[in-house]
Amino acid sequence: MIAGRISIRTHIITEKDDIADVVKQYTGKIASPGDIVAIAESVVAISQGRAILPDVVKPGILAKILCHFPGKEGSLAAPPSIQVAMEEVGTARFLLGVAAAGLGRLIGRRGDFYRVAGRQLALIDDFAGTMWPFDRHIVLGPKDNQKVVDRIKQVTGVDAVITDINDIGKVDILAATDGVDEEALTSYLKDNPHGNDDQQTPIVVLVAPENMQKINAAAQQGEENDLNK
Amino acid sequence: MLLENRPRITNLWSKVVDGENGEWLSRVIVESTRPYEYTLKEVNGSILLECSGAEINMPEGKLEINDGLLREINIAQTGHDTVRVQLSLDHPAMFKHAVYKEFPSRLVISLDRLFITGLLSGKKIVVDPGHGGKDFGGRGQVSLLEKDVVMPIANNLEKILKKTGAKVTLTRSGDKDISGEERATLALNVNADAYISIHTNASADNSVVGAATLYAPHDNGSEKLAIYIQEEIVKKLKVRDRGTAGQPGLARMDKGIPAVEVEVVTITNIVEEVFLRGLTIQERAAEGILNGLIKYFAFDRLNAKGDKK
Repeated sequence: MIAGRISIRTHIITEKDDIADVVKQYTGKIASPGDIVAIAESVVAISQGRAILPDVVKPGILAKILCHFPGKEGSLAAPPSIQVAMEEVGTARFLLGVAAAGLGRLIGRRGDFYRVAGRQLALIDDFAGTMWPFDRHIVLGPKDNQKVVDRIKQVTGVDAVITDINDIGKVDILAATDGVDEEALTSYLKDNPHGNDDQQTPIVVLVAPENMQKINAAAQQGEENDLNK
Repeated sequence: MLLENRPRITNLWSKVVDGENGEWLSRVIVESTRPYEYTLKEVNGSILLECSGAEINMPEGKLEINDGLLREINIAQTGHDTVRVQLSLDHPAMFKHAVYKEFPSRLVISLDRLFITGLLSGKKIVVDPGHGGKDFGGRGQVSLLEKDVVMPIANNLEKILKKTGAKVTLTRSGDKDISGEERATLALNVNADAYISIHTNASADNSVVGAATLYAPHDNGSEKLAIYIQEEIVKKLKVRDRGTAGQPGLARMDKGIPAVEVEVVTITNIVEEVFLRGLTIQERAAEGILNGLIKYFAFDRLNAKGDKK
């Protein structure tokens, strides 16, 4: 399904950017119909203005108490992030998630908090969870994901997916244009081509086999031409 | 679409790695859709990659690296099909390169970090994770304790210092309460070339943020060492610069030993408490301190009393 991929470094994307225009700017001379453009969920969210500075959040007593419970290495470690999460899904649902997580722990099961409180909470990046200069922000998950990928396809003519990939190889496709084989894509993205701190590449072009054949043939032709010079 | 275009440079990044033959390298990787013609040469302490028949498909301008050897990389489209990539170095380095004609094509430049190992090899560095035991130091708004978080930073610093060939002594390896006098005696006993105490700032005002480096009130290079470490840690962590200042508490250190206390960030600020929990900042703080030590031994050898026996 995928024969190669190109990771593209971009400028620092902010809420002033239109993500479809950004994708067109960086992939316009690279991607062809048949290819798929993968976009990291955090930059989609940032372009939607979903990065929040802690100064504008007033954590309530519940958030201040609950911050002592989750694993501190993951998201939602600080009261402002918990407050934002509670506002995202509603306090009642959030508390149901907390109760489910507590019961889950008793029987040695993990993941009940997000199953009950909402998967979108797993997309929240606490401070330091996103690259500079957004490392002092709480970054929510993106919204209207299907609309975003459909618009990217409309603007670029290329299929698109929004990805959430972590460093331990967990891949979630949050939205995909029609016809994309999400399951096949998941295994192909496990090594996180969006990169870590050293190579921030929020856009990745996944090249279709038929396009790769043409690229290889053209490259071979180019080498032969060079030899004949 | 690729067929109709010149090779396009899509990504440029750098990482410190171990080479296949045990070398310690700063590696720069230039990724492109196809190979292109190029020249690579050293010009006035920089390494210049001139690419022809290629176009940039990423932002032009400066990438800050600050790995102790490679300061920054500049990439610019210099003509309609020519690109210049300039690697600016802090210190001289031998380099080699290779091109991998896969997809994407990669041009890899490897810079030997021998200058750094030459500088630090054999230096006796005492790394002091501050506080310990009943003395927990500062406390974050959620629950993080200074005595706990300085430990992984100290361990990271020990690890990268050992990579340079330095002889590292930690004042504590567990959660022990050690007096200032014991720490100073240890530094004296090993005849340390530098004493680095790792701390976090704590403030009653939880809006206070940033890093500071404090120095022993002796005229022995401590202030200079603090200035270098402070510069480098602020670059690495991209946090507010709270500056340098004298630390009377370090007066107990032997006057022959340059001594500093690095407050990597401010634990009482909620954002920086969360920063401190992250493995990335714990590694970067250590790298910033190492970069400061490299500058100190490179530019102030006399102050450092260089090669103690």
